[in-house]
Amino acid sequence: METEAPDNPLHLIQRMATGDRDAFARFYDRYAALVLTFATRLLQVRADAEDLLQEVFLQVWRQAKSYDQARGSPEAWIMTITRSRAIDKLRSRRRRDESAGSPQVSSPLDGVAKVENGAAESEARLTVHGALAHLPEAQRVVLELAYFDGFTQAEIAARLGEPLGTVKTRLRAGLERLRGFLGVKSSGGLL
Amino acid sequence: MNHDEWLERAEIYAVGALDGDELVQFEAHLAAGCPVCEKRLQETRETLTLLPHSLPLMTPPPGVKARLLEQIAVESTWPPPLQPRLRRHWWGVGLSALAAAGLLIGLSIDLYRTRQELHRLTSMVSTLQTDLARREETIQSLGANLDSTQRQLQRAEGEVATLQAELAKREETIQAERQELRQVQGAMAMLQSELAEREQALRLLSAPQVRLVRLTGLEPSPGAGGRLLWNPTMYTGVLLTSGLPPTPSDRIYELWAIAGNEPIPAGIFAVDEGGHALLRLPPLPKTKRVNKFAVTLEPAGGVAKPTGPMLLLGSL
Repeated sequence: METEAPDNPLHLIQRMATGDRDAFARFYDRYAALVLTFATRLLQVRADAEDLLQEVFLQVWRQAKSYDQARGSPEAWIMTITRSRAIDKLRSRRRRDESAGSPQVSSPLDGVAKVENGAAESEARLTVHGALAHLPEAQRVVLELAYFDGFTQAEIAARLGEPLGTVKTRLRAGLERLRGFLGVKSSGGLL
Repeated sequence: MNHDEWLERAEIYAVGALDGDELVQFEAHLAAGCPVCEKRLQETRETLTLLPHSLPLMTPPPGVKARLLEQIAVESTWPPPLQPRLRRHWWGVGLSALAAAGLLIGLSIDLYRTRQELHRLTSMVSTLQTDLARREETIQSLGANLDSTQRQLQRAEGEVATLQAELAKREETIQAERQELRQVQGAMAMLQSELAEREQALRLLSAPQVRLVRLTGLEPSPGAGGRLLWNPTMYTGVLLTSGLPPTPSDRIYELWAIAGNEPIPAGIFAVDEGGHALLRLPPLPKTKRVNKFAVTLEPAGGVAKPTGPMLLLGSL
């Protein structure tokens, strides 16, 4: 799985761990657009997302030494960093809004599934998009509310006016379906 | 509880949607060490992290990369003190799944505390910043006040200086005026005493019993002369001289009233350039029978008995 190709992300992380700034530049080139896209969807504000983009890559640089490939792929690593930082901001923003008495910003769920059919799109991205696009609406909505908007199962149930059990079922069903589209079995390793 | 239920929770946990008691219980379950749940968690994360690929891809602004490279170049020279602590993130724990699970809870708590601490520090910093901003505002407004106060003070100081200069000038004037006043007073006193003397002389001379005694010049100044107005009732008089030579600085003229052969000192006097003098005699003892008057040249200050040459002489 681990190749010696210069732009292999595992290899780049190893080089970053030794303070190789060129490896950092390459790693950035590979993931910056994806991180910004994800961050913008999470935070809904472009400027906040650009700030987050910087924070995420600084964290990547600082923690390259402690990255352990046994615990996840480089992409899972950087997406987890992005999401957890964004959710922190999102939740504190919501707490502020609530204490200020302003209504919660509802997420623009309808705009999410749009596809940009650029030439540079990877096979994986097209596949995932296909998977998301083919999810039943109910499953897609709960997954996006949880993963992109940072709501917990109880919050989703309250927003949708559905029983908690239904939300759980839809979440797991959606995940199962995604795994199926991606060709990942629940018992097998992704990598 | 059936272990499948833990696996279900693992998936919802991976999506970030687990909450309440279920969250607490699941984290405890993980912390106790469950490789199966760990694996499911990891797989679900891998599945989920491909979701962002379904979004329209955005292009980062060109400046971000340059800024990051700049910043990491700086950090390569001075590693930030926060680094060792951040390195303890769960991702970096390369131990067995069991040990890792145990560590996870500890590190999660650690991370939670770090975040709490960070949150606390952030709000503290924000409070301090607000405070600072307020203080700076206060200082600025105080500064502005100070400026205007200083300007007022400068103006006032200027006025004070002007007033002081004026005062000094007035004091000078007053000083000069006082000086003048003193001179005037002195002159007046002199005039008054002169007037009093003349009045006295006039009174003395206007009395009907007053007699005139002519004093004639002897050798060495035969051209000199004098007239003495003698009031025999008051036993005093006034001497007027003319033609007497000027006295050397250590000499003075002395008038003598002579009773028989006994000369009685009757006053000393100097003369002006014309040899003129006016001398008011002191009251003389009435027991003496004065019949002559003479003027001699004596040492300055006068003497009790004549010692020098006689220049004028006259008889009653």
